[in-house]
Amino acid sequence: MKIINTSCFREKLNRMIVKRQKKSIYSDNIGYLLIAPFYIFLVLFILLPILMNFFLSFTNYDMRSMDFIGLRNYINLFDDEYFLISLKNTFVYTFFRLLLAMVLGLCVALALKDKIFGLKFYRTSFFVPHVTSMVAASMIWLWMFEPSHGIINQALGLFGIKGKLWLFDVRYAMGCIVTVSLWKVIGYNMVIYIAGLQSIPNYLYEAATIDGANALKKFRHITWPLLRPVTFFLFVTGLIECFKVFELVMILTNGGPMNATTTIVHQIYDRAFEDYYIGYGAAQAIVLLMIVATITIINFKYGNQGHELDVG
Amino acid sequence: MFFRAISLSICMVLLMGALIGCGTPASDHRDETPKEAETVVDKNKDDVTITFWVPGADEANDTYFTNVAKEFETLNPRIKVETTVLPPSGHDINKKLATAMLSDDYPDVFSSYLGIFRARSPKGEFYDMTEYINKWSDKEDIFEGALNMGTYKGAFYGLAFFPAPEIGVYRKDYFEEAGLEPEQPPTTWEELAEYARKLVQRDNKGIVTRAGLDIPLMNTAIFVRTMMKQNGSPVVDEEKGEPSFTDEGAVETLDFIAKLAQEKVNIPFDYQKKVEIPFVKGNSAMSYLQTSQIAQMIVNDPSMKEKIGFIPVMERKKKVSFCGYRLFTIGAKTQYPDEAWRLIEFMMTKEQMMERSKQLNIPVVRKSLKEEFITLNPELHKTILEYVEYGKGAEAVPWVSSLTKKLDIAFQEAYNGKKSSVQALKDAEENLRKDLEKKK
Amino acid sequence: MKNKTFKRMLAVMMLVLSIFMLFPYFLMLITSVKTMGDIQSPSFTFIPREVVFLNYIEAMSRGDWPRYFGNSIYVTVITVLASLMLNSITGYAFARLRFKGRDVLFIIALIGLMVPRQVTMLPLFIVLKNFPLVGGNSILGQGGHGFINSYAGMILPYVAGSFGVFLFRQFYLNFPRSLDDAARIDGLGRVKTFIYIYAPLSKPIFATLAALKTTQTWTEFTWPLIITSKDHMKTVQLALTMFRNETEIQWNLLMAATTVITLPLIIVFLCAQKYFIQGIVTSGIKG
Repeated sequence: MKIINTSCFREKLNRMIVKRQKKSIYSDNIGYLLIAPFYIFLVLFILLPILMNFFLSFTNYDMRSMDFIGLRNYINLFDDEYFLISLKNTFVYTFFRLLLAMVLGLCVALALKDKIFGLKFYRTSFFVPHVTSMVAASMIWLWMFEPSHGIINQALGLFGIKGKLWLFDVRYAMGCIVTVSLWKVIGYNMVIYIAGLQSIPNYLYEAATIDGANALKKFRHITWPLLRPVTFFLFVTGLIECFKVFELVMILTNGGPMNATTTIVHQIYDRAFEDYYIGYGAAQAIVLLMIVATITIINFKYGNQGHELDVG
Repeated sequence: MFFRAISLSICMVLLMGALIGCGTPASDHRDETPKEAETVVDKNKDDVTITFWVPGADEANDTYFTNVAKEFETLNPRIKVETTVLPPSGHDINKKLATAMLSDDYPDVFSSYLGIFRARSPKGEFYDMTEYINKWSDKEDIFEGALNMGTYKGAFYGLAFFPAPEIGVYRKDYFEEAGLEPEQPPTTWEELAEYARKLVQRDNKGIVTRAGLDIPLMNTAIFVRTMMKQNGSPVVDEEKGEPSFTDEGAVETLDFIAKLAQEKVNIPFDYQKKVEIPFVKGNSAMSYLQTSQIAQMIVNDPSMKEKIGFIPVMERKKKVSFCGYRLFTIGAKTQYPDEAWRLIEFMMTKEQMMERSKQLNIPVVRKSLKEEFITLNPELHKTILEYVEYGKGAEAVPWVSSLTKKLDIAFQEAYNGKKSSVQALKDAEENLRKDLEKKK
Repeated sequence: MKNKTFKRMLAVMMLVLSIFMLFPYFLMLITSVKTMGDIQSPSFTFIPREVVFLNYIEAMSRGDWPRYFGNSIYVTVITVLASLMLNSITGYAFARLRFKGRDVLFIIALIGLMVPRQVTMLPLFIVLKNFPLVGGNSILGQGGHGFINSYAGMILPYVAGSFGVFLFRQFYLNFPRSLDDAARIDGLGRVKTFIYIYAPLSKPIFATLAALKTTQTWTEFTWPLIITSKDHMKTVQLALTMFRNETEIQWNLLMAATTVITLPLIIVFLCAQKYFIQGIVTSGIKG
């Protein structure tokens, strides 16, 4: 049996992965210039419309007339049963979808990092769901979830399990939506994690192997800390994406049954484009922005971004 | 170094500008024409381009509407018609119209779904065509029901040309299997329920493999509303513009449908998503379908022609069916109302209407074409005309979509046993009133 | 020995999972060669009763598909190239340069991600329509059509992409500081450091973002729908709506067309994949 000299290994790693000096080397005002072109596009085509939307949220614009009504849209929000349900649903969706997608994405990336037989095929097949047009893909899922002759229920029938109503059942509808969105997003998380894994220098692993570290130890002390920036990135963008979930809901359940799957953006869409309460929809969007921005800023402040680590 | 950075940034911006600049299409004919024509006082001497938006459907439909515009152009050499085939989904069309409104790009002639028409005519998006229609010599020939569809507050904003009734259908062969008389469709609610119970088939675990009657579990509202009206409920007080579906008739209806669905005589499906309609797949014995769906079933399997029978319009307290429509409308901001009307007039001629019936299976709306239409396919077309005659479309209030949503949820609550039918409808109505109040 | 067995097991496991992931896609392929009658039969069959490859020809001969593909390719290529350039250099600046207000500016950039497209759609449309001095607009943005019905209208809103900036930033954060030191010793300025050292070392990120951005632009539906209303401006996603109408969908044709328009994305992914395998830093610095 091999005895692993843990302390020696840790020490060696600590020498390789050092804490960065907090102090900057020098100030680079040229940075403003480098971000300027990007910022021009950002301001014109993204921030300006958001600002206009902010303005709309204080009006009762309905495509025809527009009056300034102060905070009334915001006050009405808290009295809106559907909006409150949609908040709850969005949080539930985000929690499960975000967590599972990150864990599964990382697992797949780890499995598909090094050369194994059929690597290209596996990577591609995980990525294919991400590139398939959602209109066609969701139709296929609708078929699969279909209660009487759908493939999922038929497969369950082979094991003697009674089929479910899936999308038509208040208890399972949200689960179905999370499943489909996981199917779509795992490949995407995988791609980013693989890119992250590739950027970890091999000599770290080699050094660890010499010290007799096992796979788990290598993961804990090398892979995980050095993947922090990527994990942080996936967490923040995934969170934002989850809060914006709409298309899947629209195609699969349209918020039903009994509002069990309605989400914030689904409500916004319903209000703004089906009922023409554009001002009201704008107010909902601003609340969404507030929630997501708060969580994101907390993340940046207290979350571990991992950029204080340095290799080499 | 600083200078290099500047020049690099500038280069990047310029390069992007150049790339994008190339992207602007060189020949953008329509954009300019109307603007120039605007200043010309005497329009008659100049060529005029009108835009015509029509929702897409199958290839036959798209080709018909594109060609018919060309035919119109040859008859009216100074009018050019630019046809745009829209995506068929109402959601997408709504988005297009919303932005078209903002950019003054609204089509001169637009073939609208009834739901879109109802929601948008109160917003002043359509041109008041009352004068044209009153002067029109063929006005008397149009079915009154169809003609009335295009009115809002007494004025004409649209002209219905395309009735789309939801027709009751049943499978004669399945009736025979269940020991029912194949030539006798149900005529009352009680018979409908009784037959559904007899026709349903389940596997050993109790999962329905063949529905007795198609009751959608999502987007059930059209189904529910039509039956409420059959049971004497107004659903909406159109004069006051208020919801009104808490009366006894409405409650009894919701109760009836929810109980029947709870007995599991149906395969759950979503009425709006045309993905999985059990009847179309042969997994149901009775259903309500649009004429185009019936036609498609027969194309897919010619033997269906013999197997599909038609249920007459149901009556309980009133004889009512659901019939959607499409209407020709003129954009409110159009500069060429005369030309737009001329195109509509051309589309409404007997020849074009008959052409549409033959090519696209679209029912006629002219009294004088009734007989000819029936001879095309006696059994089906007689039923269609009956459904058109008793047809009620979407309610004439701007908040139809809210109403639909609230009724859907009321049905789901009653079906899932979360609330009693009375309570579900009361809550739905209160919720709807609150919404309307907020909007003011 | 142990390693080999493990790898084999892993391969088998991945194969099973891959099949699960591909299963819906596989159903799509089957459907694309079925007849409508077959699709609308009471129960689903894996083996088509009749294999109709003609569906592909029929689907592709409806409408002007070469034109739709041309439009999509044009829009996608420009969007991806432009945003890769912008995002990489901006991400570098946010990760490696120190300037006042950097983090605040970065968070503001992220706001762009936080508001759903559906909400900014109408305001953005107004911005593009009233853009000064384009499409017949005056300097105040009045009178013309702005970017409506143009390729630029489809491209401009997607060029910025806070997402890409964030991605580049996170990756550059992880780059060894010794790169900067080495560059400084060689007398390279910030911009040159980026061009000669960072950019060549970040091929995998460029490849990743190119694959993701291509997918995003190629599959976009709502925005092209709104900004264009002419057949010759249609993208492939818009063209897909040809196979459905209000009451029914021509499944076989829709699936055939979807399969065809997904192919370019799969090819892009396969090409990009080549770069995923290269390490970033190992090749460049140690040794």
